[in-house]
Amino acid sequence: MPLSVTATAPLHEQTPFEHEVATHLVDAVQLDMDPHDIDPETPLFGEGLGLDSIDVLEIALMVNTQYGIKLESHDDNNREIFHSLRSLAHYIEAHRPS
Amino acid sequence: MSANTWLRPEKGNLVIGRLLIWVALHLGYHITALFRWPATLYYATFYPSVRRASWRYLTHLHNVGRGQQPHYGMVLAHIYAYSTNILDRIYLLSGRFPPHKIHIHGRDYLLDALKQQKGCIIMGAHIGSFDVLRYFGIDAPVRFRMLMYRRFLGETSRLIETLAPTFQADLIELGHADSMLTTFNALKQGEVVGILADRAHDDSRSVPVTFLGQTARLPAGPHQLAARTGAPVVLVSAIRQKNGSYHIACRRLTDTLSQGETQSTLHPHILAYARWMEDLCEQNPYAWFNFFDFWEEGL
Repeated sequence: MPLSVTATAPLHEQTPFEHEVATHLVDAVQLDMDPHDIDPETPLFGEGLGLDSIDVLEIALMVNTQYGIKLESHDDNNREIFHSLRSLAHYIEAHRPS
Repeated sequence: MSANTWLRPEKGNLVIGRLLIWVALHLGYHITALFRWPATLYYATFYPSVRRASWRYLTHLHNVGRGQQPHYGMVLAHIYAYSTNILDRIYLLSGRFPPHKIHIHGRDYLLDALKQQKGCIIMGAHIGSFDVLRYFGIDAPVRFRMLMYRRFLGETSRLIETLAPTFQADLIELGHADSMLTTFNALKQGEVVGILADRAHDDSRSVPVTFLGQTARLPAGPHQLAARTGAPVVLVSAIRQKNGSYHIACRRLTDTLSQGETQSTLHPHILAYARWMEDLCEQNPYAWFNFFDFWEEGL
């Protein structure tokens, strides 16, 4: 079911790479909002964007498909990686194969 | 989050829990079994929501022609069945339940499903014994893990679970960002994952279906997970028989769900799951262990 989120201007600016990730993310979880409107520092899970654990799985699969990075289960860093668009984009940039 | 009343701290009393376990482990099954009626009367007296939830369920069962006209004796019998379930938990988790009293039927469904090498989802409900269902999973030739929502787990349940040293290791706890990622990877590795798929905890991820004549919300997540992973789904129930043994029955829910399934196309599968639960309730009216406002009608 597409999620509906009230569109408000993000408080923090997206970097070009964050915008790219946001575009893939919106597509992966069928989020009913413009990728531009995602505040890069808003929590993805639970409060904030309101994504759940199945959405997080979809994002992990998207990261694997788009960037060739396999996110491991029970990684202690998962909470940090999936915290926000910014933390996710940061993780992808640091781990994508060159 | 849904307003579902199961998302509240579980009822129970730690002192009574400790006493019950001590008696069970030192004085034996038959002595401990005598505590069931006082426990039943205690819950029936001091927990009106439990009593009302039981009455509501028995009424719905009767109204769809699958159960007799409810009376208060049935409510007591229902709570009594739950106290028996708790009693058996102590013996099952501490490894003192006689294995010859667990009869597995349809294990081939599981073995056939595993041949596909896509893991397997054992889908159950809060009908009958969750621990016997777990026993069935542990018996599988591959690693078995149980998906559980534990934030509101009561002290008594935690206490009882300490009787099984491997209980925690076999869990995937729901409610974390990476719960489904862990489950997905477990299935990809060919493992068996047990899910009780009758309690919704998120409105956006649940769908309304008719269950015992009334609308109830059932979670779509387990079915979406099945579709996403391609893991076959086997429905499993573990019901206590009158002689104290357990009967495990399996049924295939559907052939493999395909990746393109959306929440709406999954609806028939969720409906099939609801029909399976209805049949179980009709055959075992007191095995329903959802003592909360399941239909969200207000208790």
